[in-house]
Amino acid sequence: MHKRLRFHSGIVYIDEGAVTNKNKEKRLQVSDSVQSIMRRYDFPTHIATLEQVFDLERSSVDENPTTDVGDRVAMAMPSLSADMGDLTLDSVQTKRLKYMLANTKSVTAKEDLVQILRHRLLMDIARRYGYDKIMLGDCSTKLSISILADLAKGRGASIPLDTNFADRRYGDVFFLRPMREFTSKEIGIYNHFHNIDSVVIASLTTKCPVNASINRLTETFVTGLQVDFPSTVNTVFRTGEKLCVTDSSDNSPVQYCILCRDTDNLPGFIIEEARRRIRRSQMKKEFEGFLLEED
Amino acid sequence: MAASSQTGMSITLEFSGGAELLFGKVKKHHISLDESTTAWTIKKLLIWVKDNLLKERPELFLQGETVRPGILVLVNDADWELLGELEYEIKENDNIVFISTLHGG
Repeated sequence: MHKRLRFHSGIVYIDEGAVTNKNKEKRLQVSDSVQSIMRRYDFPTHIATLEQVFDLERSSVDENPTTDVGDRVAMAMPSLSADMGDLTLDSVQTKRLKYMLANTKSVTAKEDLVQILRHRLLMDIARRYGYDKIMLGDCSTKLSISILADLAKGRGASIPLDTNFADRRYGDVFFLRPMREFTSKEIGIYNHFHNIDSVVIASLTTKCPVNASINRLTETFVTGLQVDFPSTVNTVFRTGEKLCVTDSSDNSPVQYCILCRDTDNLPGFIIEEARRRIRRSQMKKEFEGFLLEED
Repeated sequence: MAASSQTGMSITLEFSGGAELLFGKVKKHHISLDESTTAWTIKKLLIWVKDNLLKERPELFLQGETVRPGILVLVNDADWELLGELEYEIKENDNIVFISTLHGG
């Protein structure tokens, strides 16, 4: 199946059972079915649970290790096959993750938080086992949805890095999106014709109303338009591709937010506009009480 | 057509990509459609599915009288867009597949 790949690759499965409040038995059952599919391919496999993100040393993700990646990749690929049974599923960390999510107010924020934690964990696994690239499964349909959703969430500056082929924000390890030229329809039909087995894992918004989160609402908007205007995804995707962030005037090194990898290294007029809007909304709030009294 | 004069027509329905969650987590359904004076189109089938197979949240599978955007429909491994979509007349032993490409099924 993978004879054309010129590099060694492995598959990572991150269990998110704690996010949807699944019990231990259910999580083991889902992970067993995922693993049975993963074993059919000759790739080394890694299993992790999302709560393991709390076990990470801060430095393992946030700083760029000085060791040369090339050396680490040259190491023999260890055959890693952690069993879900070994992983603690009712630990303090599980409680911490649930507490963290319970204190995240909106479903949109919960979804984004899970994605951020997933990426941190992936980055840690990559560094620990000597991978220098992480390939994500994002397709053009999903990316055009994130372009519009990110805009709505005020993360416009991250769009180029969040949706382009390569994201080099972490320095030594890249996030790559090799599936970005395919639509979800193409992938769905390919999987059907090649009898590729799948496991359906419920997410935060499974069986929820279509307006449960910004991401979900944008998905409904894009897929709805796509029916009558089949070039929708392509248009959004290609337009998003043209976006780029120009460096700010000073030459200070780019600073990224430790959690969401967002940056304030933007042209002055954007920062000025953001400040203006914040001021406006604050003024509106202050005026609110005043206006009510006048009535 | 001979098909409409027979008593009942058996076809197979498959749900995947998360769509099966709305059908009691059962992927494959062998069903028999009753004899009818008018031909069984997909439009008519969807109403039947809603009344007989769909277990919950019809709005996540159907939108108006068609399937929700983002759910692919294949009739005998061909995209239903090539076959007239809702107007396609179902024949004996047809295999109709519904694949959800939506996040979370």
